[in-house]
Amino acid sequence: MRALLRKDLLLMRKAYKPYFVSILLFGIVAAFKPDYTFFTVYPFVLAALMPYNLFSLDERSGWNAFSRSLPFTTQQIVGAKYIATLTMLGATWALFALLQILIGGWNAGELLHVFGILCAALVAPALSLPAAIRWGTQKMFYLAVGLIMALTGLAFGLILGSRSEWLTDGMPVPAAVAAAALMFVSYKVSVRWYQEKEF
Amino acid sequence: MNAIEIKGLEKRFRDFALCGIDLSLPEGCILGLIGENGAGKTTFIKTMLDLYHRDAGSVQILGRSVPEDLTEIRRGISVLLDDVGLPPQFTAADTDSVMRDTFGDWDSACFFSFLERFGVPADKSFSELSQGMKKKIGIALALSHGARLLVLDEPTSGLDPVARDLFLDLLADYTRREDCAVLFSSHIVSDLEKICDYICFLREGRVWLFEEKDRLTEEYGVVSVSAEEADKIPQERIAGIRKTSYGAQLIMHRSQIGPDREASPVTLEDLFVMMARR
Repeated sequence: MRALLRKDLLLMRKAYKPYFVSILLFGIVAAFKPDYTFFTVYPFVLAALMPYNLFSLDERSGWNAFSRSLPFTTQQIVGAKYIATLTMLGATWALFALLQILIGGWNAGELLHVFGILCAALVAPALSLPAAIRWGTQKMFYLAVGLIMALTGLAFGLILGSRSEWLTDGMPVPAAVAAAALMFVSYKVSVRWYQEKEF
Repeated sequence: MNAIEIKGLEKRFRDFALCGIDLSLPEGCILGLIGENGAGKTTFIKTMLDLYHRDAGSVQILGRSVPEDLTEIRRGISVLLDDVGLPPQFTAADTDSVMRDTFGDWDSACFFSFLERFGVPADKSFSELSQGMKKKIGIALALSHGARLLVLDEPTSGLDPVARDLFLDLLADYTRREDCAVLFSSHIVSDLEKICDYICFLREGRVWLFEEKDRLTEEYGVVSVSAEEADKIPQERIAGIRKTSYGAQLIMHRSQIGPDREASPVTLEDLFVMMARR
């Protein structure tokens, strides 16, 4: 598992530098102007897309087949992508929180609001990773992306729309529970489909 | 013990099928897999390793069952597929760091020394290397941990003659350890002739011939006859044929060659080409 995480980390560092710079820049703007939702949402979308992009790279380079000849279990191969997802989104949230505290001062409501966005952002990888495993990142790409965007947009809408109600009142638990449940089901489906997949 | 033991292996696709493959490879030996394009060599290797899920049959590698013990089996084998499978952004150092975490017995010094012997620039990323250089990294990778079985799909394709020669020497060194074995597929029959103990000739998804290499070359001979004579010989006595404007060359089992004919020794290349053209 450590080898898989190291490989994904190295790949992210080498292939997605612009992503990291964008996330940092957007984080700074969002910390100055918390009302600009776009600046908060967009970096989370970028972070959420990264595991899908990693999977696409693995597919094109032949790593997917090669890794099946290495001593990894299916759970480890699939699990590494989910850990990468959670790490990326968690790190993005931590960066936003840090910038917000440093620039805008302590604001618990705003931090919870961003946490809600993090939960909504998990919808994209939870849907896209099993789809990428089942149909490949090229095949059915537009259909998958369209559906994923729609559902992720809906999740963002729900979170942002209810901002003033339960999130800022310090009740992000339902969003966190729903996101965790979705990721768990997604992981289970991914493992099953990965086992059935031929390379 | 056999490093590989396969019985009745089958894999069916819509337009191709691997049928009833029986094969075994003793430890300490090298098995060469040969066949025309589309004969099923890669399909066979992938089905054996469970990259394709088999429809029937059983596979044992290093005494363990596939797919039940696959993770344990993979600790003891090295696989080089046609696509080496490393990320294009990776340098040799990146590959080394990932493999160190993958195999408990990974030998970094050995890996870099192979790269040096093959003349692979360690600082370049994988995407910057030629096809041959990529293959060399794949070979170095396969040989740098304590694998007891190497499974190599077309390892010499894209390699220059010097690198091919070095690779064959490395394989010969590798199988000096009696508990190690190699399965490798190739179109380059001369490579197989140099190094293999066993030859498996695949054709249209079936094992056409599986035999010790020395026995093959001992048991078969080339008989030169006129075209008219060739037509008179019953087809079942002819294993392979090549017709030219000067006559015909027949590959025949020595037991099928009468005392009135003289047979010259057969090379593996002749055996393969003429059997394929029969």
